[in-house]
Amino acid sequence: MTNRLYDLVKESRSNNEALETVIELFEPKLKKSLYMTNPNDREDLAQELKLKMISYITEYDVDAIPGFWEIKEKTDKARKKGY
Amino acid sequence: MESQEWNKLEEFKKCNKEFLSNPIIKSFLSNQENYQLFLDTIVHPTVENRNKLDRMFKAFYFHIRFISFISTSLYFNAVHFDKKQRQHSSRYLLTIDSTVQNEEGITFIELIQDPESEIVPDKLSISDDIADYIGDPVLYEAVQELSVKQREVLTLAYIGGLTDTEIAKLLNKSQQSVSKMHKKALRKIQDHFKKKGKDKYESY
Repeated sequence: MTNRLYDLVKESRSNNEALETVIELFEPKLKKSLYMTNPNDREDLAQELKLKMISYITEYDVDAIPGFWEIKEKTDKARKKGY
Repeated sequence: MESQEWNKLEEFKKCNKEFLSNPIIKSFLSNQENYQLFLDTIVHPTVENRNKLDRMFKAFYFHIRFISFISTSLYFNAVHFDKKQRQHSSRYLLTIDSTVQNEEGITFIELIQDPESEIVPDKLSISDDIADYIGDPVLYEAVQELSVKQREVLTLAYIGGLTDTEIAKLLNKSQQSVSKMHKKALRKIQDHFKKKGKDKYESY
């Protein structure tokens, strides 16, 4: 599961099917968010949120996630500064 | 060899106390599979092992960051949307919802209905014949074949939502006879469907 989402989001930039799967994964959260507004506007909100999600997912910088060793180096550096 | 490996691990743990107490690293290593990979990498720090660990960690960290990012942005976007919608509806009131001039607190919608009128829209649509509520042609035919009393019982039961006991009280009959009539009517409808419905619905 952990790896699946990672790959799906990476793929979403070029593959619409992957993008759709990611959006579907967030469907429960989206439904919950709809209660923030009155019943008449919920359909509009759902559409709005999906639109936002598309841009968030496709523009998410997957490679900006720091790696295991990167975090280790950072803590090492911070420790050195402390001394 | 065993003790050498163990020493390597202990040394790493000693040198990187701060790093290992980082919450995200801690929760990553609390997974059995990840911890095994971590041990392998410390003992055999090959490039391949290091990269594999790095990849696993990135996917793990990404999963957490991405989900919380999307969840909070969904929430804040929803809040923002609602705020805008409220602002819009308060600035551009529907005529019907705006207040009548010179009369504080009274809106136009309150003036539309005439409370003294004898015609009530809800009552206009109420019919005391169950046949008026039926859209299905076969069911309509079936109901037409029932006796007046049977139709009356069905109307009270399904349109009025009464129980057999309540219907009995209303019609001055015993509950048993009402429930018999009710059952008989349903059976009659069922029989009609068995006869006529078959050829009509088989085409679907």
